Amino acid sequence: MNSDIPPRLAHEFGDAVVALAADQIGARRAREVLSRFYTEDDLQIDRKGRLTCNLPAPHEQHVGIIVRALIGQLEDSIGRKKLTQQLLRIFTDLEKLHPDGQGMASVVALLPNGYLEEERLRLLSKVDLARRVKDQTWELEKLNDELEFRVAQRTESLQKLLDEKVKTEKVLKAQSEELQKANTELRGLDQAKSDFISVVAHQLRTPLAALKWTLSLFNSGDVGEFSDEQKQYMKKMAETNDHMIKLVNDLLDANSVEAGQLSYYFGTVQVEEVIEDAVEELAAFAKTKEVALAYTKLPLQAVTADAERLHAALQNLIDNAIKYSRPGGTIAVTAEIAGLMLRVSVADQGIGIPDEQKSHVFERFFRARNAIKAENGGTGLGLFIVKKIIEDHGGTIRFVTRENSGTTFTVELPLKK
Amino acid sequence: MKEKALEGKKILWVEDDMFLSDLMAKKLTKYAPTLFHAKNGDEVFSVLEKEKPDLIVLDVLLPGLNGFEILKKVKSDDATKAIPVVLLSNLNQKSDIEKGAELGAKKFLVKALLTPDDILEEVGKVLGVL
Repeated sequence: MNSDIPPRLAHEFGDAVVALAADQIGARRAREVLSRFYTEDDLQIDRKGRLTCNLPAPHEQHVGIIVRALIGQLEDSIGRKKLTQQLLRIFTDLEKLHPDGQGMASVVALLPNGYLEEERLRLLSKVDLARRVKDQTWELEKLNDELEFRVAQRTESLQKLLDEKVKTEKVLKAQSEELQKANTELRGLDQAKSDFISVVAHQLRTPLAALKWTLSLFNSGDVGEFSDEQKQYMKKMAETNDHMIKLVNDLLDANSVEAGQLSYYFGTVQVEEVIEDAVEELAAFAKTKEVALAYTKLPLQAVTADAERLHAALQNLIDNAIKYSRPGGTIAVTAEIAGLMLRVSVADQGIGIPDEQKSHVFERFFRARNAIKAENGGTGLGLFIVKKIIEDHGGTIRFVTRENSGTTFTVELPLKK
Repeated sequence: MKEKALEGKKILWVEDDMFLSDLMAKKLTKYAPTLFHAKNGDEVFSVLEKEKPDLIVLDVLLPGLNGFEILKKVKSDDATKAIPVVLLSNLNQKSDIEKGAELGAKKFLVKALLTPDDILEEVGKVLGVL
């Protein structure tokens, strides 16, 4: 009946009952009882009279029987009441050793018949509680194992993700390095392009200057007189040459604009003087195109500007107006104060700018399709540079246009404070 | 500028392009200055050893010492630093113009943007004959 007593506990329980018996009925009598189950060698009484018995492995399953035999002797010898007390003591000791209730039910079963039922039930409920604690502990352990398994699984997938992330980062880093390299190369190429344009432009200017100077000498009579017809041709040559010089200069300026190194020498400027100069310089061109160029000079407040750059910008706007006017057209140049700004407008009645191309007007190398038909000489750099110059003065430039009706460019510059 | 307006004035013209030099020499004849011509730094300093010009017109891109280096030497020598120098070049980048001004040039003229008459007008202004 006590086969549920596990080996380790059988020892403890058995030892406890043997010790009790030896104590209460004397080592010798206990030995007599036990000798039915043990050989003489297994049962020893030491010098102090204590009985030790080595419960050998083959006997362990019989612990219940052995114990019952001892209990019978004990009950006879010390009485039921005392035996009960002693068994309860063993119960308490075992309870301390095995809080999970192992073996305690066996002890309760050994209690002599007639032991108070209430007390028996109390002990059994204690056993039951201990078993439940044991079961719950086991459940908890199971849950814990499951949890640990899941954590391990998660950790593994996280590690996988982490590995992938590291891999991706490596790829990204390599790509970023490649991009950076390409960028550096591009910047180098851009610089090379800028240097090339600069060198070519300067080299082109030397022969163009030589031509300009020669024609100027011819024209001023320093190397003898020419016929009127010859002078006419030389004038054309000089104009063509100047146009070429302007192209080269525009190319250089556009290059400087891109490199952010357009040079300025700011001073106090009377814009009406600048406009007057530009209009005078372009009067002959307007006349050949049979265009009326109208400007009424009025005194205005000064602005802070680079006179030469501003002159170039306004001249470019008027030059464009003449270029893209039709014979008989009128160009009105006006300048006025508008609040804190000085406003200059150049209005023509020319070919206008096609609607669909309006947004490209200030782009480098842009030329409107109708402009290309009307005039071959442009580079598409003029307005790109003009816009940069005006903006570098803290000003704005805008235009209104209608194809075949005309265009008005309006520049606003901040007044000198 | 009037004929012979530069008579008695010594001008040292530094230009390695012989054609441009000839054109300027031709143009200057009418105004009768005493004209010295140099093609490079060595020639500049051998002229300056013997003569004290009233004006140096100096190209920038030259074989050997460039115009900036010549200008620096001229301005660091007590014997020559008072001579006004006008740079005449086809360069006109902001950095070039600023460098010329820093080194003490009176003006920075751009060849392709000016006629010989324009240049002589500037020369006349610097020499105080206009």
